[in-house]
Amino acid sequence: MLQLTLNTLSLGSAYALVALGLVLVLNATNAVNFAHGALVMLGSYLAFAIAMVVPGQGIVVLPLVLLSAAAFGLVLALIAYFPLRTKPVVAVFIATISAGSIFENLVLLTFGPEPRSTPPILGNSMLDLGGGLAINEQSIAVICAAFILIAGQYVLFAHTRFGRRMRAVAQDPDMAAASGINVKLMIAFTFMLAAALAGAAGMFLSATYYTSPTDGGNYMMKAYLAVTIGGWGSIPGTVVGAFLVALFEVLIPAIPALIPGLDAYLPTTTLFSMTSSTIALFITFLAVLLLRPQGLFGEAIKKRA
Amino acid sequence: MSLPHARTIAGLLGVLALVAWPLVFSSPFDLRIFTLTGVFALMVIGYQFIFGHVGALALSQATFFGLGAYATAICAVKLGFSFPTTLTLSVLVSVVVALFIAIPVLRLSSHYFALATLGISQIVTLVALEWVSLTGGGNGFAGVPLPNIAGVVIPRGWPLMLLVWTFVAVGAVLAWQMMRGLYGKACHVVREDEVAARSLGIDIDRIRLTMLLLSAAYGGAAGALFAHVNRIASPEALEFKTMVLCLTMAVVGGRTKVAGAIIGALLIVHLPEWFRFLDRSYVMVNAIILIGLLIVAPEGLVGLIDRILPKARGVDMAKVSAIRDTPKASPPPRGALLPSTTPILEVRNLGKRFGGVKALDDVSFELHRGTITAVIGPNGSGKTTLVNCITGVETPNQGVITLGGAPIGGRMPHDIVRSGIARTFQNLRLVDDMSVLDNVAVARFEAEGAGPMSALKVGREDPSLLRAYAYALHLLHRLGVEDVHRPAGSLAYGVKRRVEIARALALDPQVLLLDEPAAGLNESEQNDLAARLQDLAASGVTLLIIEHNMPFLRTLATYMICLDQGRLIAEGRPREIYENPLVLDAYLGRGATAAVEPEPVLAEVRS
Amino acid sequence: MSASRLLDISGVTVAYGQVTALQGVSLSVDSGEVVALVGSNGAGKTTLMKSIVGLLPVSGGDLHLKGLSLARVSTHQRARRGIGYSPEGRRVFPGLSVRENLEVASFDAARGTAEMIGRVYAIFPALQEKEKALGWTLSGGQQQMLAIGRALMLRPKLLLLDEPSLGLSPKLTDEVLQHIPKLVADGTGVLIAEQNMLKALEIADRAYVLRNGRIVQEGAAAALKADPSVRDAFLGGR
Repeated sequence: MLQLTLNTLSLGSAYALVALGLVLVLNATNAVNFAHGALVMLGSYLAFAIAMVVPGQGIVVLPLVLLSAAAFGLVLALIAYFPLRTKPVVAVFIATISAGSIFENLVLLTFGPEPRSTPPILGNSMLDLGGGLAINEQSIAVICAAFILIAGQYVLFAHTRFGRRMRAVAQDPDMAAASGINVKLMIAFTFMLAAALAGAAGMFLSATYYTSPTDGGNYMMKAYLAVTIGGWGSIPGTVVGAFLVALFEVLIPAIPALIPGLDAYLPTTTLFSMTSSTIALFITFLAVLLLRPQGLFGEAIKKRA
Repeated sequence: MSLPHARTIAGLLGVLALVAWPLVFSSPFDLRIFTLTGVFALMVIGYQFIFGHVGALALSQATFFGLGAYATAICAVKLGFSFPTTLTLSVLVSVVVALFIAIPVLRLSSHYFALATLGISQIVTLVALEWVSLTGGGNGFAGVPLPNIAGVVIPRGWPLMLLVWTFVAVGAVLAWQMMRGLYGKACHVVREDEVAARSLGIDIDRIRLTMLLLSAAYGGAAGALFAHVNRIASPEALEFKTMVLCLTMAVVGGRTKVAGAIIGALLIVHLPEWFRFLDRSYVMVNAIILIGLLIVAPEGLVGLIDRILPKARGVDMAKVSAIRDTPKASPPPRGALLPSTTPILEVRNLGKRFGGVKALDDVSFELHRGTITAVIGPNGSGKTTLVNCITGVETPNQGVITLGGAPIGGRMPHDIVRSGIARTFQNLRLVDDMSVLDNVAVARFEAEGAGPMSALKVGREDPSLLRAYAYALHLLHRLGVEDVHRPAGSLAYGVKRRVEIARALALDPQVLLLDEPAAGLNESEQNDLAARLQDLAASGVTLLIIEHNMPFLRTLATYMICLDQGRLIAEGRPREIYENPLVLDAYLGRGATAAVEPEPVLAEVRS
Repeated sequence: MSASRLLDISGVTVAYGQVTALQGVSLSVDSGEVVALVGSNGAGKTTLMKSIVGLLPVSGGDLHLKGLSLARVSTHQRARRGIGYSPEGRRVFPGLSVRENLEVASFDAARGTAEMIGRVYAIFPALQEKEKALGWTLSGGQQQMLAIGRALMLRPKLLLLDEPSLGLSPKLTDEVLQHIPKLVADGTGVLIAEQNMLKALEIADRAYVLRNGRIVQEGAAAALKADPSVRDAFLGGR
């Protein structure tokens, strides 16, 4: 039970990182960055590659992953966003999908199609808490690292002038420019920050679950769900949305184990598979939209009061 | 412009090139690729209905496509049905699923709509993968026979290719015909401005539903053909990748023109083939070219052609004039038919709260036929809320509004418009890239009862569009707008105002609500407008005008009501209102001589 | 050109697609002067303001600030060179607090920023009371003060005020407009666009009359106020 909670929390915090990256770019540019999932995947391969060169724990690798993922975020902004800034939003949509497939194939050509795993942050052993309780070190480390990154992001946005300027750009880019803020620079930085968060998430996720080059779409979908459930632009809503997504993914396949004897009555293996958890997630999501078309947490503040 | 037939010639050349293509590239492999191009073109033509014409980012077209493929595969193999039956079933299955999709998602706005359609598509894909006994799971459902029409099997190569492209041709012509008339113009307004569309009595939900079902029907048919061409129905057809392919074709080719769908399909299907020699890196080259195309032609390649060869006037004005000259074109206004003793519009004890704020508090008044009533009051006094309640955009918390004796509370905005209440907007809501004539003609959509089928007349103009044009032309002339073929966006401000009034009048309203009609007009324009509004009232239309411009109202309004903080604080003739101490206090400014004094000065100048 | 010439615009033309919104507009603002730009809705006032700020590209003509061309200067650089802009419809940052709204527009060190915020609060004490409130929760009049305050944070040499009275009651309009003369005391030039001609001419030194994208009249505010033909053009104003 404890392990299950931990799994949910660690998966949820990794998803929260992914979804936050998506929502950052969304708020700053009004465009959905469909290459975001590919950035997560890229992050895990970057971690894998860096770990081959830089020996040591994941904690050493992490900063390098953040930096190199940010560089890819900048590349993404330069090829798929800035040239199309004044064009219809769907153009950015397709351009980012294309950019995502470029990243995907780049990884495929470099590393081949096999799934890879990255080093854990500190270790992957079980910590014995006594009394038959044991918890996974990696889960704890992921929760802590994600918490630090999310908190860092919160501090940046709420308590630094730079972060407030990023918010100003997201709320009204024209007026931000007229107030002396370099909007393009801020947007480029937003892309880099989003990519760094995605990269970190990629590293955390592939330590436990392995990542293959085609996994980007899957991450993208999870993040998109989390953002929509959370209310399309609300940062706390997005974090909650990410944990809900993770909850479904961890909990439903675990139901047969939690309720012993259930398989006597139900075909548990098909009913509580990974697939059915995904279907349940989507149905829940559609129900949320039906009941609350503005997402669980309502729209973020209106663009213009 | 110097070549009036340049577009026709370009079109013919395009068709010729399309015919020549399989003659030039005629190896079995090339023919197969060209056949697939046709299949995708048909899917994209369908997708243009929902994505292009009404601008809703649906991410479910691949689902309709895949469902069509599975329906054909399963029915042909397991049940041994022939091609006409399997095709019909494929279309039906897609349309039925589209109906189910529509229930939860149709009303959602942009991104939610996109993700909701995507979510449903994911569920369908997962079901197809898991329901192995029916669908063959991940391996797909193989062994689909070649199409069999009345016992004749259509073999691969040229015959199958021709079958597919016949569908494309028929589908393209149908789509083009459906969307070129009044219905297509109504879709255009829905896409550009939902608020304006509602104010014209257009039922947006219904249009969106029709468009989604049409998309599904085309997608299902394309999927059926896909199953026959590939001889298999596999989950890949349902997947997001196929959706992205479809979306890319529509965006790269062009979103609303059938030619765009065909060009997009040709290009996107062939690009990977052309770069096959690059081996594994072709996907990246492909993606880079795509981004390049988006930068060069964000409105699609057809948009590029439009830029080089701009469209000439779309309709034969001689035919329009012929209709216009018949007496039926300008019937008397509806309002004239009612007895003048009962009020046309009656507002009783109207109240509206937003949170704790009372935007309207117990407001009552009535309007009589052919009168001009002005609503004045400071900003935030509830004037706009009043208009929104009357037009059904806001639901009042209390009170009754009746039109010609019948209560209109609880009815949908488009329904209220149809029953005879039209409005104009303070900040002009014309569709800028449509011509003046089109902007006004669209208001006849409901009266003409135009649907997608009404334009299905081979070789002829949509008759309802011609009638709408005649009606619109009549009103535009009445309001003194002559230059009717220009895009509305290029007009001077004052002319736009009159076009908007003409558009509202084209709804044949009993009551017309005007929100600051004089704003931005100079004195001569104001005088002109006032005279035309008086004409309208004399013909039996009842006017309710929200205005700040006192000199404008002074001669125009027969009655005035003044709102302050949601309450009606005064009503009466203009002269009484100007002297009412409550009005002076709340609106014109207490002791603020600057605010009151200009009035006589201005009136002086005016006379 | 006089040494005190702040803004110099000559022959500026702006076109949106087929529509020409401004046609050969020439205008100047000197340091320490309030210049009114009057004209009805759609005359081109906002277009002119936006092209000075750099939010709209000009298709012809020159703009100079303190003798330096603005041709290749981006919007944010113009702001940092001393153009403060309070736009039509106020457009405060809705999700930032009053203080944050002011803070993001300052490029001084912390102490300079705090000092400027203090000065803005001194002019508009109502803002200090609402310091922590988010932009969108403010009333129209408070938002207007915040928009002007935000423009002041850049320590502008030239202050552009687009329709500061729009949507305000007559009482609030007076309240906002009475602050404007205080702003020019230190040599700032003010260009104010107003539909409310009489109010604008009351506080301005000079004025330009804009109609259908062209300047049709210019001169001392007092003279224009007395000129019946100007009034004639503006019966649209309240």
